[in-house]
Amino acid sequence: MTDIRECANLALAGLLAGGAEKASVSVYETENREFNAENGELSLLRTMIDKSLGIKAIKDQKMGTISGNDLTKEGIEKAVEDCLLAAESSAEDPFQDIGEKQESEVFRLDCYEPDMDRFFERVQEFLKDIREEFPKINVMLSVCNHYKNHNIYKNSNGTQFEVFEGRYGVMVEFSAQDGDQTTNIDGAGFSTTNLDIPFIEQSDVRRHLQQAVDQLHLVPVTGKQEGTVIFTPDCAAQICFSMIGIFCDGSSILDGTSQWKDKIGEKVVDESVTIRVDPFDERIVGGHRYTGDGYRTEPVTIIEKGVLKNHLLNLYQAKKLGRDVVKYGNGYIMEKGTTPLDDLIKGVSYGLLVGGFSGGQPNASGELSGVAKNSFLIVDGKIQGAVMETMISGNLTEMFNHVIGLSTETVEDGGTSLPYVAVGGMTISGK
Amino acid sequence: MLEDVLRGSTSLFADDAQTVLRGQENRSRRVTILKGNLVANARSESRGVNARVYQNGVYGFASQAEYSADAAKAVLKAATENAHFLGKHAPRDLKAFPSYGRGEVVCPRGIVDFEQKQIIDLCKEVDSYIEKNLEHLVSRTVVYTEDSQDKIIYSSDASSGHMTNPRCYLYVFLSAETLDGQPIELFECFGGLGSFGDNFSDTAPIYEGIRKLHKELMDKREGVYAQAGVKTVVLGGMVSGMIAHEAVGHTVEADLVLGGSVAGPCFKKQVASDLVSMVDYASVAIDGPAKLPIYLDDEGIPAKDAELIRDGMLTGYMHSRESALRFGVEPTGNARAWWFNDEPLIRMRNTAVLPGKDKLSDIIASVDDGYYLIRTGNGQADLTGEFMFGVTMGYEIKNGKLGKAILDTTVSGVAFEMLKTVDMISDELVWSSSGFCGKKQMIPVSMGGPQMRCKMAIGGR
Repeated sequence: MTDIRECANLALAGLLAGGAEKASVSVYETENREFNAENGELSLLRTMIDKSLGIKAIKDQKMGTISGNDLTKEGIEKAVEDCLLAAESSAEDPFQDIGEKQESEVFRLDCYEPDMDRFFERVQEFLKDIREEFPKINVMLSVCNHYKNHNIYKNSNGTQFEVFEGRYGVMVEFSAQDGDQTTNIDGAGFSTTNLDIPFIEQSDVRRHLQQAVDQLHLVPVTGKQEGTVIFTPDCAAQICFSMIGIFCDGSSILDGTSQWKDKIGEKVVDESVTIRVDPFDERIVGGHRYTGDGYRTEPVTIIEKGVLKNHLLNLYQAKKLGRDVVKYGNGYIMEKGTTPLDDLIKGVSYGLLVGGFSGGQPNASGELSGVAKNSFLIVDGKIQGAVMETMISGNLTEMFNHVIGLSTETVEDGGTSLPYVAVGGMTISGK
Repeated sequence: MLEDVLRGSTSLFADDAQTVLRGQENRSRRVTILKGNLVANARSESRGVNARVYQNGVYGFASQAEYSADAAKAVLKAATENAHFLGKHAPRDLKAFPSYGRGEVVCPRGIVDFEQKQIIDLCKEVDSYIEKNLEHLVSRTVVYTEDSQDKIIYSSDASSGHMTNPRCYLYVFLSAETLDGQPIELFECFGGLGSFGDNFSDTAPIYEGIRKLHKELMDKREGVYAQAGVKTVVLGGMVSGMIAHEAVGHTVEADLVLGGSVAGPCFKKQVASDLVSMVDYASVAIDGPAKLPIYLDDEGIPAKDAELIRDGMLTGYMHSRESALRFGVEPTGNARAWWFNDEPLIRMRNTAVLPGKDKLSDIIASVDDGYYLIRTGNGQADLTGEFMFGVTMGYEIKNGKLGKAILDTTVSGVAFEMLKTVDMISDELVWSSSGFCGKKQMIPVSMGGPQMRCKMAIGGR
């Protein structure tokens, strides 16, 4: 079957005819065209034409899900049969459900049809720009693609969403080399709809390239000392995601391990911190328009001026906890601050500018420790040089309660927008 | 199991290109029970076909989410057009790959499916055991995961074969609180290569493992923070395996050597104490069948062992056909792909530090002040060999005896410096095969190691 609407109709009708009281169906057809470069040279052109089906059935309050990519009539009928069997095998749970009826809508987002000639020119230009402007950089891998996605969601409550969405993606991994000396891997990436601006000018790419070259100048860090850490925006995103995952994600609320499970409306971090999820923000590319439960997404504030506003609860988690579902999508945004980056650096007597963090996944208590990657030592307000074998440690809650400042500068990569985040009281240990 | 619908399509291979056609199905099963609630109950099957065409030093690749002779014809055409486009606009100065002969490689196992109800019943039984028998828990989660690959590979100038890689695992996560109310968690996984029936017909070993895990969690309830700094540590077998994979393994993947890894200038040099040897095994390891055996890679190259370090000297890398051509050696069969729409990349298989002659008890007894690190979380490494990984379970060692458990921490170092400090290696080899390695794509890997004494930077307070 070639029409994904027909596929969705067939699957939904089959689930209901098979005895499901409630059911939902998602069908995707995607096309991905991807230029790959290794060691600075284009090496591979890849075209992937994919399709997939995801179905969920609730029968006698028992839930089963199936996914696959066989969209023939026989394939869909088998998926329906397997889904009903999976549901029948499951345990009864009164909280299994799908979202109430939403007004149906077709969403057309970003650049569904690509300009591949123009894109290829930009890819070639990008590799050339890096070679000429940063001769010490070796581009180990670059993946530049256009992703085109047409999907449809239907459920038995009468909701139907259809999305046509396309975007360009650029990812580059590199190191700087000088003779036998090699730096750690650095990288940059972004999603965009804009082919008018050279890739090296977009997002934070040029700073990352310069950061890698600057990593060739190493300075030692010895002993253990408390200091200030300024996280770059992409590294701050990594730290923020950890914090939200541990303390705000629905699964940690449901299993009771979140330390913020009873703190809605309370101050949990420094009042300078506001974090929201907003797929409709103009800086976000490919913003989600509906949730997996079949709700239209909404902008959601997680933390506002330090006060916890929402946990990220899906429908099952919300019903289980007797609370309201949170209709969140993607697009994490941390509000910027009032201090320019240069002034944040000047204010540090001893600390690090941390461009990457390689650490163990923090546990439920939020303890964080790991290696400061792509990082620079700051002493008396001045950057001294790059560091190796330097670890930082702290606690996520304590860190975000000791925010010294947020920069006026932000970096957007199509999926997030964050400032530089300066945090005091971190343990910094060298060799 | 896939039926072969591709053989006829090999007549469409172009004479002036090196082509691989691969049909593939990935199957997954997942059940999650969180505190007695079944929160995930999913089955998935994805199949398709891809072609990779090498010509003029570049690759064209195309895939379709359909497993049929028509789809094979379409992807061969599209991959050829992609290779032509790139060869015309951005050719690379790289020759055709040498041929090492053609043949048919046989895989000794199939894929056996089990009903979801059997999986759910096992998870419920294990969950019920935990609820009834274990105390002081804040939360518990039982997760069953199964992922299998079924591949039919045809190559224009290398070998062909029908390969299967089934594996399944039961994860048990236990959460508690320290005496001062801090949440702590540990997990154990059971299972390995093969089907549900191969791995879980007897639940007694699972319950024994869960009781051991619970004992460690209770020790951790009274745990202390490790003291940050460079310490003498005894690495458990799982931790040594992580060193083998993360700290050394990635630096000796030949594509990363070409990318500037520290292993390039170190070739044929001493990079570890002479007690240390390391191998990436294909299908048979030093102690028996490999945990995730690979017989034929996704370029059609029969897999063979890649010796990496012998007696402390760096002796080799892991290769694809392209990297082997660039280094002037034979490929090792390390080019692997995860989904049907993924191109093969150089990936590890069963990577291990080889066992030595010491006894674990003697190694621990030799440490006056240090740590015994048993369980790891995630890990990462870099081109420079700088690595880190999380430690989720360990104990202090004081005057040759195990002391208090330690809370979660992180260890780090530079591989070829740390390995030079290894001065004792146990005669045991501990394997872990449940992990995925991420490098553009995910791929299942196994890793192994003995207990080792060395010096390493440990995080903490």
